[in-house]
Amino acid sequence: MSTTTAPPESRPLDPTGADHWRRWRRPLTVVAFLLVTAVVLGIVQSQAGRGYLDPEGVDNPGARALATLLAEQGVDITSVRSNADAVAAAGPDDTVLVTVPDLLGPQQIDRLVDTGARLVLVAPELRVPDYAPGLSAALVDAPDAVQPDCGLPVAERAGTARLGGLGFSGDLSRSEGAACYPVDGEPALAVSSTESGGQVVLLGTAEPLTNEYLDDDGNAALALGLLGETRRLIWYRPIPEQGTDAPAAFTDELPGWVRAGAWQLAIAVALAAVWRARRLGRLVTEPLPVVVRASETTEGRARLYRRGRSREHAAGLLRAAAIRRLAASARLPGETGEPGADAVSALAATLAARTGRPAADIAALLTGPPPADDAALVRLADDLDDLENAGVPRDTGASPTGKDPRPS
Amino acid sequence: MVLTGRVAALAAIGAVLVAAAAPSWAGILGVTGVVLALALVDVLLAGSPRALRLSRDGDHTARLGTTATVRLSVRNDGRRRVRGLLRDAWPPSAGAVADRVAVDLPAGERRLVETELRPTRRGDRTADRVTVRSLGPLGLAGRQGSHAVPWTVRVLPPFQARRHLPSRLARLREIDGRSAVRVRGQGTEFDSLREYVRGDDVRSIDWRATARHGGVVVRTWRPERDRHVLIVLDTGRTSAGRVGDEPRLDAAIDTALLLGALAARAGDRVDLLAYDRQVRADVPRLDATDVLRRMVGALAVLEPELLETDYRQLTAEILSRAGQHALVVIVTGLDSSAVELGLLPVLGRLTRRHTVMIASVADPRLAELAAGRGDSDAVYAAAAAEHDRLARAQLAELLGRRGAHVVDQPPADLPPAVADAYLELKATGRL
Repeated sequence: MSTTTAPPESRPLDPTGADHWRRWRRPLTVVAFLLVTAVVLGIVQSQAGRGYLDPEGVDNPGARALATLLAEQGVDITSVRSNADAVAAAGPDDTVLVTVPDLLGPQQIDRLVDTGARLVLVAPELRVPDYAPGLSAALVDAPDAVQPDCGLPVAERAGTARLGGLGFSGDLSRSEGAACYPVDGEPALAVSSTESGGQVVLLGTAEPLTNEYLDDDGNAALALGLLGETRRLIWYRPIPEQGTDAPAAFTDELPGWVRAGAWQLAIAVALAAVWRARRLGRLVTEPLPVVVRASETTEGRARLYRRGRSREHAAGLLRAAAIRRLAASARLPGETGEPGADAVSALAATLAARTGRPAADIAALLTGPPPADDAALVRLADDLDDLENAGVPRDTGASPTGKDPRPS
Repeated sequence: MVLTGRVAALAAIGAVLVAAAAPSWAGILGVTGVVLALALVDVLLAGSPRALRLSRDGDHTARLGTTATVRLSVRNDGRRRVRGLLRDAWPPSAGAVADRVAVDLPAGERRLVETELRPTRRGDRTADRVTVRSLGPLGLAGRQGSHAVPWTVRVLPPFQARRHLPSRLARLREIDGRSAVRVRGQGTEFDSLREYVRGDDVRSIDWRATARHGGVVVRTWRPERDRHVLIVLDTGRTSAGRVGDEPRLDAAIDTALLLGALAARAGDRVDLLAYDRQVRADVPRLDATDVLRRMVGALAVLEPELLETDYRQLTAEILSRAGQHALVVIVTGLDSSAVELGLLPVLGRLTRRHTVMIASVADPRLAELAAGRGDSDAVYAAAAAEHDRLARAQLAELLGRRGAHVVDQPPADLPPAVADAYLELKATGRL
């Protein structure tokens, strides 16, 4: 951009690389700053609250303490989020901890149950019958320290634990069922079996597992006992997932070469769009002249007359114009727009003499009552035309509505 | 950086390749990569539009309805050949016939590109940018760049009333010719003395000169000359309305051109003024030799302003320009209250010292509407048109009563009508 030649020599207008840099460095700086801030904030955030029963979470609802204890006991913890991962990881000799069992759909639950793994469910409510047939959940008192009050070895070893929230009722006789920690008469911890015969443990609340309450009473012993029973623990924190019940999309059914070709075609279309989108130079604009016709106000007035059906007004105007032209052709004073009655009768008499029509008829046409309807108005206009054509002297012969006979 | 359709076509052919030989992401990536790499090579090999040097010459003016040619000289100062498309961009109303041309310019050479303009409107038309799209040897991609190469073509008013000029000049000579009889009369002034020949009017014998000279000497007369004619164009909002297919101002310009040319040939002093709330054009002392050139140049760029004309201020401008008795021709439109409220109150100040003619561009559509018959819609429209025609007629009468000469004609008839009115005033010595 070093050309400083004066016109008519040309001047290139396109920015160079340096211009681009000058133009974009500020926005780029802002974007870079935002990115760095976001990354830093993300790292800081990840250290703190991570969520409910997160094995990495160090805050109150997290469960890092429990995960650490389990790891020290030699339990191999696999953390999964999706149903497919959980099903793939779980085997008949594993324990699966489901932190939000109600998030799973029936098919997902079936797939999980079919693995034959031992399930530990935290606060299941609506989906209880899908996991453990014959059981159901009911709301009971909020969690507090409760006696085990049952013969389950794990519970007996742990002793008092913080349980409550949900109680489970129903037939526990299947397999070696157990009902412990009764709250309001309902067990807040129930052991039953799934349809595939695997053990299922239902906990009324997550509190004995959390960082906040793990070191109270026998919470830690109960948690370790429930979750440390097998060598491997699948820590499944479900996320809402699209039910995979819908049939696979038709694109998945297509052969691979069609899909690859379609992708390549899409790239071709995108390149064509780039080709067509680039203009050869910018649009040239210019101010345009007024496009409103000068007669616009007249036409607007005509529409007003029509809408208001103002026949009287329209007839008056047509008559005044006719009188004016007739008076001009008859050399009578009628120049002002409002001729008096005398002038009109004089005009009628003159016209009567010229055309041979009765003067009364002419006077009635020129000054009569307003027409009763639109058809009468149209007739009046035609009658006025006839009168003018008859009244205009032969030698001019001009149409009354053509040239204005007004002297200029 | 610019792509062509060939890149897209190549990528589409690649789709066949991918489907047949390598139906995988790697295949897609490979084919697309090859296509883009070829395009990139093409961009690098394309000549740079930045290295072009452009300059213009050609027509600076064009009469509306004729063709102007502007030549663009393109020199390639770069090292590589520039091959591709060039667009010489003009505003739409400049009417560029073909604004895209193919160029093929080896390094160091120059070419001339001619752009033909057929302007559709009067006024200044300024060239926009020249854009060059230079493609690489494969024709897949290239570079694009624009240059500012300033040029302005002034589009002059067509002066369609020109065809009325010869007949009016003949009429002017007729008025002159009447004075060949050398009689004293209205609209004449003393010309010279000469010897009496038989047939001369004895009343024109100048006895004093006869006594000095020895023979009988008569006075001769000629039509009055060196009168002042001031043509005033109203460029306010009334001049913006469309009558027929053009703004009222265009008809006013035609009128001014015909009257100016005629009056300058008749030996009168012609001034031109265009005014709404400020002076838009001011051309004093037009000679017969260059009257049209100067008027056309000044009027070409005149645009109607959407303002109410300030007649009070306009009167002051007129009075300051025309000190002695002058013919003041105001070209405007009669169909608005603007005239009634603006011009009427100040008309007396003008007519007291000057002869005032008001030329008004009438709308033939009014007559068309007034002739409407047959159904109620047409008759209502006719009544509305009669309303406006009555109002115009009354306004014209009012103006006439205050001493102005009113000429109210449709656009095509206005210039000759004003010229005739001028000739009539001249013939009757009322200038």
